[in-house]
Amino acid sequence: MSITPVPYGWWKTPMHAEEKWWVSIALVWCIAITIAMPAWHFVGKQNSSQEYYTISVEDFNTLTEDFIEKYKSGTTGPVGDNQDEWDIVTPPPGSDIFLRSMQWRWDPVLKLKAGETYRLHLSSIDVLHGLSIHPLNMNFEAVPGWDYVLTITPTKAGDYRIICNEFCGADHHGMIGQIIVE
Amino acid sequence: MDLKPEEHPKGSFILVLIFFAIFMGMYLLNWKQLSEIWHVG
Amino acid sequence: MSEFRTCSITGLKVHLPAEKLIKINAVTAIVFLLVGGILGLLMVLTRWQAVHLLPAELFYRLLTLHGIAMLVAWIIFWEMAALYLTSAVLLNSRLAVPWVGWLQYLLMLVGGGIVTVIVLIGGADVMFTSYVPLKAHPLYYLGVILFAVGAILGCVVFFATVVVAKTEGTYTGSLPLVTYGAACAAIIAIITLSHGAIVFIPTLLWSAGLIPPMDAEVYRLIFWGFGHSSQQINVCTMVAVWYMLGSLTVGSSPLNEKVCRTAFVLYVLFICIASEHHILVDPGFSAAHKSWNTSYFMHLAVLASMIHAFSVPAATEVALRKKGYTRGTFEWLKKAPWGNPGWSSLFLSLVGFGFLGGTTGVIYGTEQLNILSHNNLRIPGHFHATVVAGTTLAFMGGTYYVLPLIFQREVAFPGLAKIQPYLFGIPIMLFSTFMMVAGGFGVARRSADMYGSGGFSVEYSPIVDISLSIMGLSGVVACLGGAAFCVIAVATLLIGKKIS
Repeated sequence: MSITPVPYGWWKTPMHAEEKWWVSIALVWCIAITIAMPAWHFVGKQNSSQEYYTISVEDFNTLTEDFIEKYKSGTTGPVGDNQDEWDIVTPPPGSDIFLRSMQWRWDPVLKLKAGETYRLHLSSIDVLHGLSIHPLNMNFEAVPGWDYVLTITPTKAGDYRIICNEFCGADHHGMIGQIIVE
Repeated sequence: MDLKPEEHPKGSFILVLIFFAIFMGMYLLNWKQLSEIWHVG
Repeated sequence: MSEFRTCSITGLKVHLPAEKLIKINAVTAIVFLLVGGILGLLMVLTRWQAVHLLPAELFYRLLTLHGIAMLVAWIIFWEMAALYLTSAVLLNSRLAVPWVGWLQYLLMLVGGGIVTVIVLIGGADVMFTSYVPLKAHPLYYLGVILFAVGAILGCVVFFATVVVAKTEGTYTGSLPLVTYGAACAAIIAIITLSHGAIVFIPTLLWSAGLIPPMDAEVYRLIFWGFGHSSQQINVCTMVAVWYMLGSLTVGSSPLNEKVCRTAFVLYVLFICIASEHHILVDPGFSAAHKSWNTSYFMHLAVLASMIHAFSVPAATEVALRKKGYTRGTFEWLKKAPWGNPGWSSLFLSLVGFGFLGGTTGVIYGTEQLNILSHNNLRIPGHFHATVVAGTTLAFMGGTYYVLPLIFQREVAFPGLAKIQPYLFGIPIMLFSTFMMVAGGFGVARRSADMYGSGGFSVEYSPIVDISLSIMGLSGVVACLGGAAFCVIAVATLLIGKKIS
């Protein structure tokens, strides 16, 4: 039994047919799903980026402020019950765009063009935050001290939300931003 | 362990194949969902 | 030999100091299960959006405690009991250095107690993960360190006992498979708990204001060496408990020792690097690094689980067929002892862990597929399938045997015990499934209100509402099933008939 000691020599016991089949099937499957990951880097369009830099939170903050000033196209006006406002930024296609996360805001509101590619710089200036583009359910981590560059191409127009999905303190659930794709 | 022909674990083998089919189905469905979101890299 | 008694059921020699330690660890585990379960009820009633019970601050505070009470305290205390059981009792041996065992218990109790108090008074609203630079009170980190060191001592006692049994010749041949599995779990435990102790030392010093904060990404990397790999202790122990329950319920033997033991070794070799699948959508790591580590080197740890997924039921099938249930493919399954809570726990745990927890773990932990799963409700859905439907249910099944064999009392309320695994197992599987469905539509985890708090509005697919309602209902029923287990266990200890 499984709870009693086993006499020596168990290593030489041959496997039964069902066991041989199942272990073989499982092994082939494991190799296949391992290969799938590097393969998707060649055939797929959705991969987590390999471009990242360390950056101080002050520098990232300055870069975001400069970016907002450069491409600002308006403001949202008071939003919801809280009456907070956001800058709306319309960057040209192909440009470097910055998304700053902090307790408990995403700045700025980005206005992007469908089918165009942007270099999205994602970081946080305080604690960890989670970027979840809703309702696409695309999720990336915003880490203070790291500039994470995601080369994104919004494929469909729409009014998207950014939900923070890494716990970041008292009003974590209220940390919601916006991306508009035209 | 010596097994007579009627003692082989055929039932567990079928159960584990059902498990495998569900596993493969869910796995492939996830790749399909992934291919439908924005391009990112 | 007054230090031993002979078990009237199994004929095994039971070392009394070992028995005491098993008892005290098991009882403490069940107390934490009760606390965590009450918190779980509050959590599910809050995430069930139609009920939405708790205010945000309280939700986050109690969610932190729910994670610690369940993932850490209930499971690791029970594992300590399992380590002493599988070493001293199964090997017919005395427990080596019982005072270290008591030190283990004391450290874990004090550590767990400190953490619980600090969280409850609001000193650590940081979640189970306590990611820097989110700061908790220094005592919180100290509590975790004490707990981890205590658990490491438990593993040391386990290995010392195995050595004592070998040198004193209390058994012949190789270790029983269950003890072998427990040994693998203990190796993994030492690796992963060391990560925990290591990562919390600089965090403690930082929290106390003595050193600057460490890099947030470095913390995440090392923390998950503890946070996820400590769940691999559970996997490994759970599989060992599966084999044990197979033997105790239907008298099964492993189909092939070589296959089962090789699978356990694959866990030890490869499962610890799996912790890196928490950082798949993070900056700081190359794709090669991510896919190498998330595949646990060619998914060989997944292979191990898939092997057990067959060899555990196959072992019981062969045992039942040898009893004469050989008609057709599934007569053995129909004639299995479904009224025995040990058996029903084993089978439901196998299904819950395999079909729901294991598969989703591999899928969500695939480098690119993680983009769709990172930090949404799919993740708690996954680990409620593994750690609750899988590990917790298996440990409940194990408890139904620990009660008569170690506490020497007949299980109280046998009628309730018969249905308890179903009352807990089936709803928790539904709960996990629909949590994952909601997560697939982008509902965030650890969120006190998925609709925000007065800023931008958020809309969800109508499927989300339905899913969260099913999740809520089945979660409440599962809590009742868990409560039934606690009632049975406590009643057995207090009023259960003594077995002489």
